[in-house]
Amino acid sequence: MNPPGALTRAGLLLRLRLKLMFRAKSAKPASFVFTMLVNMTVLGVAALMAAGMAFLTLKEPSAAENLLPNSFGSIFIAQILMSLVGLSTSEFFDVGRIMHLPVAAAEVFGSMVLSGFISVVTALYMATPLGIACGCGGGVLVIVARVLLILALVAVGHMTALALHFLLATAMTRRRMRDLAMVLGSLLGVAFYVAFRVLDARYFDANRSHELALVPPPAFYAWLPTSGLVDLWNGDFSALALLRICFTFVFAGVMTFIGASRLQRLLSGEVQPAQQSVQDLREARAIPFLAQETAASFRLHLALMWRDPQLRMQWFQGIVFVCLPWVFLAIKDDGDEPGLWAAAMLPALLVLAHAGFHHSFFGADSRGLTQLVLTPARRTRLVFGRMLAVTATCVAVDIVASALLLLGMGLLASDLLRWLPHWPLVAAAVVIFHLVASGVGAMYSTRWPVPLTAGDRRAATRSGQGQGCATQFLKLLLFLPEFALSAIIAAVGLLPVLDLPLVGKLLPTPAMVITYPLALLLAAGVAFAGCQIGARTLATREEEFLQALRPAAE
Amino acid sequence: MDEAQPVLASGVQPVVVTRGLTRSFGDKVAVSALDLAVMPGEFFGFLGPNGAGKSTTIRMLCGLLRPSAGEARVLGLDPVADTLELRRRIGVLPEEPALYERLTAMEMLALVADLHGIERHEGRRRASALLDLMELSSDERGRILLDYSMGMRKKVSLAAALLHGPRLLFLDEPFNGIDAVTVRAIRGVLTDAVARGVTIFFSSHVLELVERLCTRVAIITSGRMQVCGTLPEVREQSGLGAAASLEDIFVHLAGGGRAGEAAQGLEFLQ
Repeated sequence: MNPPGALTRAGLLLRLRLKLMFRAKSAKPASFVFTMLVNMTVLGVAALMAAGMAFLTLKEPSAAENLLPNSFGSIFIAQILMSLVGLSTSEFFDVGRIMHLPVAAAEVFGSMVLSGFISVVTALYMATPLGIACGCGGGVLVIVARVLLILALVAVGHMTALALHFLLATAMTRRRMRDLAMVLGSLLGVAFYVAFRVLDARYFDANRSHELALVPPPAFYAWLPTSGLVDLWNGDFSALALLRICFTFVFAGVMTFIGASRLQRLLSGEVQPAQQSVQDLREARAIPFLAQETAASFRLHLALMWRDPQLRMQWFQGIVFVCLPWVFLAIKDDGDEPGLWAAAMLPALLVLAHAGFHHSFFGADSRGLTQLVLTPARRTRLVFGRMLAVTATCVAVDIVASALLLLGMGLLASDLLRWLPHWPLVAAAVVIFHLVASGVGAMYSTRWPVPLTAGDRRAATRSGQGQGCATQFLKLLLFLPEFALSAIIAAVGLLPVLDLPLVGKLLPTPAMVITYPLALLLAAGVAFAGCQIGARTLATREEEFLQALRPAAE
Repeated sequence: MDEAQPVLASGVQPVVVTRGLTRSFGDKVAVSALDLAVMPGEFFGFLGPNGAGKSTTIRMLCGLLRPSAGEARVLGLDPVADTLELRRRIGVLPEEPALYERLTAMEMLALVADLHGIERHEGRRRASALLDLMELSSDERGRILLDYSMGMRKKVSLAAALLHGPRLLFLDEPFNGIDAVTVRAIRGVLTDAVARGVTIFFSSHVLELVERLCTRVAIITSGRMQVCGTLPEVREQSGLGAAASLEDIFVHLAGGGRAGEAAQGLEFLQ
């Protein structure tokens, strides 16, 4: 029996990666079709990017002078950031499962780097330089050499991302890494959005797109490890260029060494992931006015919300990705200030950003659900405790967030405090929207329970318990009546301060003393009804409930 | 079903009784027409090979699964209709520990105590005593359960099942992944409990332990009851003679004779 060589073993690992990629997504034909559609869309976008760059370079041959270092440097940075944000190595395969097999850490690392080329996202990274290569033309050998340089660019970026990932994995807990990913992801989201707005404003006009080529690369791009590849592309063999080329290769070697050695330390158990200690829940004092079971459910769900890194991330990223673009969209390109309508939409957007908590909150840390269900606690108290925890946290977070977003709108309108006077009204509407959402969520999360974290959702999909696109779309439509109801109740509460088009103010401002409590009462009524219906559903559909959220338990 | 419920000559009613209990998942019948009676104070061993339907039966008896057909009474209650009342009186250790992984062990037990309505101070005292029994150090108690090993999670899950002092315990593979020292301690607690009149419905693959602890055993394969009774009764029902161990009976009933055929072609292991 001849043991396979290192290359064969790396090849086997690559085949494993390919199998896992498709198996994980093909539990349902609809899911497979959806994945294929997404992949085709990504490839289409990549093709458009490549074509755009090719036309730009063809039109203006000197454009490559700035475009090339800009694209090489930006791709390198994007690869590292995107990998860290997505914790992408976790999607390769759980290396813990193969550590007892005769494979070396370097082989695992090597196959991880190579597998980067299998990913569809890599097409996005390669699109711009491929477009430039096509636009620049040249002989077959020149084009082949340039394609090899592009492959080297992607490999260096992937290697660096993996090395940094394993370096961080040996230095901090996975939960801390997720927190880091949250911050980086949010910053990236904002940066991409700002970049898109700037490019949209300046260059998406076909007559001005050639100006993109005039943007010089930032000075520090010359010191990125990819600058050596740019020099090779340009055929520059000056002393400085040779130094940079050497630096590129040395850098790639160092990254491989760091990545493989850190992975080896993880595999061999030399480095134990740090464990997280937490303060015991405030030595559980009784909560006034709450029954013991309600208080227990309240404490439980409050702890879950803040201790799960994915959920913490959702609090922050919901605001960044749903609400922040709205603030930007509300500003016209010529810098006009947003209207009152922009502020008025904030409560709905904030609730939309965090609606997942209301609509699927039993899906958080769902391993414990069997224990929860096995207790004799009254279901109304379990559901009510959960509603209290989610609603109180949502209201607190969104009231603060609305103040910050209004300040942001003021900042963009060059008058920081301009929109802040509207904050009390926005906050008042936020309370009503969340109360209604909590009632609807109580019904929704018990009737159609959905795992809240990505891992549990994947498990549900694999076991065939996941929901198809059509079902999910139909459920999304539930938002419409929920939002309409929230808006109507909020309008009732805030009627005395609303200056309605055509009819003006219908009631004097002091009438809010009556209308707002009335609206609160109506919203609380929706929440109460939701709690009762949700508790009844939970009591009568325990089996389906557990099955939907803990498919592996069966 | 009450009139059909078996009653001993002494007037003692079984704590668990099933008649024709069946559960199907699509075309697959996991448990088929199961008839069973467990008496108070029994240490009842419920055995079967992997996939025989043991966990499904336990889940039906706890009210976590609805039977497709047949009936069950647990402590005189219908697991489907009287679910909450039943759960006040039973303790359950599922095969896979059901814990909120982002709580600490102490928080998890405090939650269970609160949801059972145990007075706050008493709940903490019981939790602390049980964690002492499970030999979880104070340092370990301060860590979230996500960082626990499988054995430690099992210990916490067992503590949660015992916390409210149930009269009937369903234990699904309670000793999986637990060290020998703790196994001995838990065994002591369970035998003491049985001596006080608690009934234990015990599913395990550790046959030596079952043989030593259980007063009666039942063996099911492919969802069907094969034998049920005390060890001598089970020996007689299996037809293996008085010298047969529980393992011999189990292997015989679970189709262990096929192991010889399967071993063909494994000469390379010599």
